[in-house]
Amino acid sequence: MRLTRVLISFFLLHCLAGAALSQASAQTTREQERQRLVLYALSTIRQVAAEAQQWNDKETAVSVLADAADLYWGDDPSQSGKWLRNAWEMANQVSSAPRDEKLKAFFTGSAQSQLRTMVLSVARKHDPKLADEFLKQISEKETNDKKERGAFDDRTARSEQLLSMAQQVLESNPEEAFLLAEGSLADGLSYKLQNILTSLRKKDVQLANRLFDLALAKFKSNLPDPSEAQILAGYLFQPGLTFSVNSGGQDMLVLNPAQQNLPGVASSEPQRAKSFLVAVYERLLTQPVAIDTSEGKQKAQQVLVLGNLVARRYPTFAPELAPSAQGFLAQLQRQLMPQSESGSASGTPRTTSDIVDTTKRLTREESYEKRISELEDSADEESNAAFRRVAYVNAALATRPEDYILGKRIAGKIDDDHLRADAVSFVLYRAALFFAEKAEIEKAVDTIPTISDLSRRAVVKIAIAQRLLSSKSEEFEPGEVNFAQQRALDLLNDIDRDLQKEEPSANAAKILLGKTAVLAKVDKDQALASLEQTVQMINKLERFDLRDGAAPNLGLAAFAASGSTVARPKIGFDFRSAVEPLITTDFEQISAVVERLTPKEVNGVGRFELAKLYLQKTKNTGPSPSVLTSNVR
Amino acid sequence: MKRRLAKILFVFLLISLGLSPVAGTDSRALPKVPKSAIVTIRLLKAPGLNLPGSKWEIAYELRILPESSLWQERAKLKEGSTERAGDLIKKATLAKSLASSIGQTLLLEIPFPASTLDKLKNQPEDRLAPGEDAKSQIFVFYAVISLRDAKLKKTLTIPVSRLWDFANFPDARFEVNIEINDDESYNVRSSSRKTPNITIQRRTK
Repeated sequence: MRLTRVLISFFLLHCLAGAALSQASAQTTREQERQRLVLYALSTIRQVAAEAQQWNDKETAVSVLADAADLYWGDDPSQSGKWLRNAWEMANQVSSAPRDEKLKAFFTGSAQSQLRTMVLSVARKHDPKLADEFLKQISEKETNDKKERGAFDDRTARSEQLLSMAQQVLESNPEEAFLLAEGSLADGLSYKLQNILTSLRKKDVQLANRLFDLALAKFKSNLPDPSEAQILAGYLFQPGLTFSVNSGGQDMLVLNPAQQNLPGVASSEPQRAKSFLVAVYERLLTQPVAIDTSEGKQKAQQVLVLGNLVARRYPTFAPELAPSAQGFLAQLQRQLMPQSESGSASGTPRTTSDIVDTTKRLTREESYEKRISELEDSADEESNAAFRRVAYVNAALATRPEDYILGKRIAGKIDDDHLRADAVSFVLYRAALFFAEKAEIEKAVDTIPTISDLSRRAVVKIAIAQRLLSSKSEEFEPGEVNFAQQRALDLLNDIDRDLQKEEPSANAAKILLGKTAVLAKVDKDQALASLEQTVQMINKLERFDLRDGAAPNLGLAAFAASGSTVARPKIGFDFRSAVEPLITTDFEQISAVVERLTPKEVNGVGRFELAKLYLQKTKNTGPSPSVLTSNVR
Repeated sequence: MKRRLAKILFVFLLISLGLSPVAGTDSRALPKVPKSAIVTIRLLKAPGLNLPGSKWEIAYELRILPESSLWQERAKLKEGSTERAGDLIKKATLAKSLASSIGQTLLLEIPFPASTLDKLKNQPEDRLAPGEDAKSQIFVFYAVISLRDAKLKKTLTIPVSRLWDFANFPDARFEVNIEINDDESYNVRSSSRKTPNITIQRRTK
């Protein structure tokens, strides 16, 4: 009997120990496997960084080298420093022309400046001396390069970089943002400082106040430019709005929509508002301005624009200076415009649009109907056929997305077959995306067959599938969840059929990446197959940016504003969004697929992004084999 | 706030129209004014260029208005407006085949009537001086280009609206260059300012 008990106990203990050993062994195997993959990812990063130095696409190469330096700095600072210096040199070869020709009167920000910020951010994080060296180079170069400036450019290329870096780190590290912005003050008060002050205030009021005080001290320390006062005036009195004056003496303004509804700072900081108004008075509103030269006239215009903006603040915050400030501005105005009426110093002049409309107020719906009706009538009356077509398109685009029957009817009047089909398809596409966003699935599904353009149809299917799979699907009865999934899968599979009929294009590749991103959440095998299909499509293209996450532009080609009227699916159409759900479980399979990308630089970016993403996703799951993962962002 | 918003919208409207800014302090009285405007429109690239069956047609209006009216007329300068700003100089339609290089340039010669010539002769020395912007003249070019591409097998419709100031273009010669890509997207580049001056907006009084 005793022997039996002993035997049973022995057997049980043996089983328990075996299970524990087997579990520990499985964990060790998993960890070994993870470490192997981490090493593989790190070696990929090193390899791609080496390749990037030979790439023709300098913009991509700079970003890869900067990222590689950031990831490797702790393990190999010497190599990382070399990569970063190479990246800096390459950034200097990239165009410094304004990124957007249409906006260059406002901003002249270039691809070069953006890449410099990228490199400087890494240098500042790991080697502040190197960052200072780069900044010094910028300052020295700028004195030799005189270029046309936008009205809202930062004061120097150096301050532009410091403030761009401050903007990048503000959310995660307000103190660092403060230091960077403080550093920019040596060059004067720049446009971006206003945004930084406003954003910093949301994170830390005291830091914002300190930065404001330093900026005001700088403003008072020498003869300031009126545009510098606009920065502080915007921050205090009208967050999100900044005024400036261009070289012709005319006022311009820019708006930051994210900040425009924030309360003015002046009411909670009346003493600071007063200090600012006193400084403006002393430094600008008591200084005589000679207007006998064009420069003098321009300066006087700048002072007048500023004065008109701040004049109405004096009675509240610095009443003792209000009469003198008003008097100075009235006098300046008379000097500049002897024939103009007096009394506009307290605000911007009135225009015909300010005249109060005394006609009957229409409801929103009536106004909408009246506007569409007028647009359609006007198009009907246009005698020239080409102008008439454009007028019909504009009237159709002016309809609301959900009012697609009206939009379609108006677009149906276009007498050119191709334009008519495109406009009708766009109106229906816009409606379907609107319904998908509002979770009106049946209406969206019913609209699909009416959309003639296959790419648009595919995007609608992705949007509906995403909606079916989103958390809202919890509203279905338990048994219906699978039905929703199945329906989503059916829609996604349909996309292949649609796209097979289309020529390979960047838009089609983006659609496939978007499809893969949605599939990856429900069916990994299908997602991998979809990724493979995407790679085949990309291989047929001359160029493709794997990191461009913007939704495919399927607006009406000739009507640039049409794209903005569309509710776009809330998924990324980039490579990262497609592979992220699978990265920790299927890293090797995805790597094998990405290896098949044939364009040299696209292949490099694909491997690099994949490795970086893997390191990011696994950095907290265990010790790293060699290279520190603390740098993995 | 509404006024400000209107101003912002106006600023961006002008940018979106590809506005060419007006000459500022360096504008000078001209010894003589041109008798006509010449607008050269070139199709530099299109998938179906040189193919039989490819053709294009431009319907256009050239108008003129004083700079002082720009703010008041801003709604008519907006893309999509069916109303037109300024006094009409000429409206016409011109079509050509794209099968040969000759047809790939459209030359629009638009003679100025006497009333326009009078306005152009009366340009201010300094358009920033009070009241002088009523004399400073701006050309408004509204056009719709319909391009049949034999390779794409489609007709593309391209609206083009431009403002050109006489102060910056005293010879009244303007260019519009168009490139159509294989994916049907296109670029339109046109004459722009020659000197870094100002962007047309309502001037602060």
